[in-house]
Amino acid sequence: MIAYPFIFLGLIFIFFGTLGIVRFPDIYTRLQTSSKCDTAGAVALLVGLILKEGFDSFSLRILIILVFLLFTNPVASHAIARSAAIRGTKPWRKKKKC
Amino acid sequence: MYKKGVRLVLTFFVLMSFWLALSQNLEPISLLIGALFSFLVALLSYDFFIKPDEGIRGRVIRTIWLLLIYIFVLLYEMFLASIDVVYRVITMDINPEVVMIKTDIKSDLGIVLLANSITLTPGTITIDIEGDHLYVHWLYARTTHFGHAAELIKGRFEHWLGRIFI
Repeated sequence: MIAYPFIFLGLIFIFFGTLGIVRFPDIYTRLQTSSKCDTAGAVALLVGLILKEGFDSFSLRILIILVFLLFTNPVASHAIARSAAIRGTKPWRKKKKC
Repeated sequence: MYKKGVRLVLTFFVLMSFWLALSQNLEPISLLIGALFSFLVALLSYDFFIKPDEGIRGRVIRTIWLLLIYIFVLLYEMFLASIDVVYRVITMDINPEVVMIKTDIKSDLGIVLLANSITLTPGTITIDIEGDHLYVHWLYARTTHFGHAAELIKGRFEHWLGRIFI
């Protein structure tokens, strides 16, 4: 049962990624959590599913989904960040303590 | 340098192997439909799939091998970065800045892969690219210095990608 730690890890990552979307102040910092934690969570979850299922034709399809996700998720985040930058959204900055 | 026909056939074989992996069906009618549509799509898209100036014949095996190693390096770094971001979510200890870095990679595909890797790893997102300058949003900026920030962000990715794409 080596698969369950991976699935659990993936759920933890996705939970904190979603929590970060709620807690962070502006669009760029929210994209940070949604791009990194969600990709890492999904990869861990799918690797867990592959290990649970064993290496057969089903896990080959999961592997294709995994590689596809690894390519498309950063591209989607980049597209959202770029459109926000073109519209002129200023990044949130930490207030300096005087 | 590949000729037109070779590129067409290579694209056809890649599409056909994807069809076989996804359909998992060896009946003649399924194979026929797969071959027909693979050929049609290959005819439309071989020019984008393999660029005329890319893919030097002797280096394909080496490139694929290095890309596999690169994916594992990327996954390892991605998990470290995610743990760091989870820590920042819990403590809200963030200091976002937009920094500009310069890359030495010339090939378009190499720059795309570098930008994707930067988006996935250490608390950074690529916002925009102009030529070989990348605008990067950094979740916890330790420095805003041009060269030092580039060292911290690109890390080992540029080393690996430089070996693949020059």
